[in-house]
Amino acid sequence: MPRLVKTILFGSNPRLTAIRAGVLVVTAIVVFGYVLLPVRLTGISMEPTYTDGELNFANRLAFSWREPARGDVVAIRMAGPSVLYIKRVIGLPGEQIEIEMGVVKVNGEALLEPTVVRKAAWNLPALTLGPDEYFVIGDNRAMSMRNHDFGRATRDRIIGKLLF
Amino acid sequence: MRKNGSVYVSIVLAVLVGYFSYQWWFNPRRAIKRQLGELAATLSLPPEEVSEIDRLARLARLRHYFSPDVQITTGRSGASINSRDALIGAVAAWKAPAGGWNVTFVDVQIRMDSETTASAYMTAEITGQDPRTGAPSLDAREVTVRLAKQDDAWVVTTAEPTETLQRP
Repeated sequence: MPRLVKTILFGSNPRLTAIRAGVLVVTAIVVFGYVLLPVRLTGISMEPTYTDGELNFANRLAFSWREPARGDVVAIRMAGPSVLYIKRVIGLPGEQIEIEMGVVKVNGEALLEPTVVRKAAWNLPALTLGPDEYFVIGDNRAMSMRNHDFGRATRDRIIGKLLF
Repeated sequence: MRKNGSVYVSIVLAVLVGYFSYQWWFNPRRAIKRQLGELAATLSLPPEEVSEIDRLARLARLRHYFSPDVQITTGRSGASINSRDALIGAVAAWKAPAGGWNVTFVDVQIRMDSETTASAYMTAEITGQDPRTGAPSLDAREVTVRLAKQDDAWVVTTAEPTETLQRP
């Protein structure tokens, strides 16, 4: 093999190059396997904040030191982490949630939602969240309520927070 | 020394071959996963399924995956299908969208309840094309399936969806 090709492929110090490559591979496995979960959004339920086909990452360490907060966009697992719901947290454990003509009310008070552009006349009777439950919903409230997946999610299903 | 080394290597190789052979052919969890994978493939509607024979052959294959008295709960309404014949009738009535659809079971977790019964918890993922826009579409539901070993094959006895996001 010509010297130039060898240098391009393995560097001037092949042993150091191998160590660098190893560190890079291990870092990538740890980061993308356990910390940042790659997510491709499908569907329109989070529009206009996130659009169909967008790529993002779910930070799995985001809730290691704190609990999900109102306004966080979270990844919710189904049977496992291969398919996730991406929704915004609007209700925290113990709170009462109600939707009246498209207006979300938390403990009877209207919630200010700057990320929601248009609101259809959705109605949801008041419900009280359990000690381990969060109320999650998408930002696209212009769509039909029937076609929009939202509701209560238990804490163990929330596996991370969207990075961007 | 060299001879001993060869013996050790042979033993390790034999153990590895035995382990992987067991996992592949005899481990019931593996057999169930394989069966569920085949079921998903049978439930998928290929875009090129144009002939009636293809369709009937696919429906006939479905019989192998369900017990005659299978109980299937569908959707939030709790409507149910109570036999294999009714299920095959329902599947036969599905109208394939242009481009077909693809069913896969992901994150499959198997629990052996006894030597002849098992439960599988998984996400059923259905990908296809939006009939109006032509854009790729995805629907996913959590499903709990119970299986039983009948005539040396694992068949589905019950299937019910689990609501990920609970709504009143």
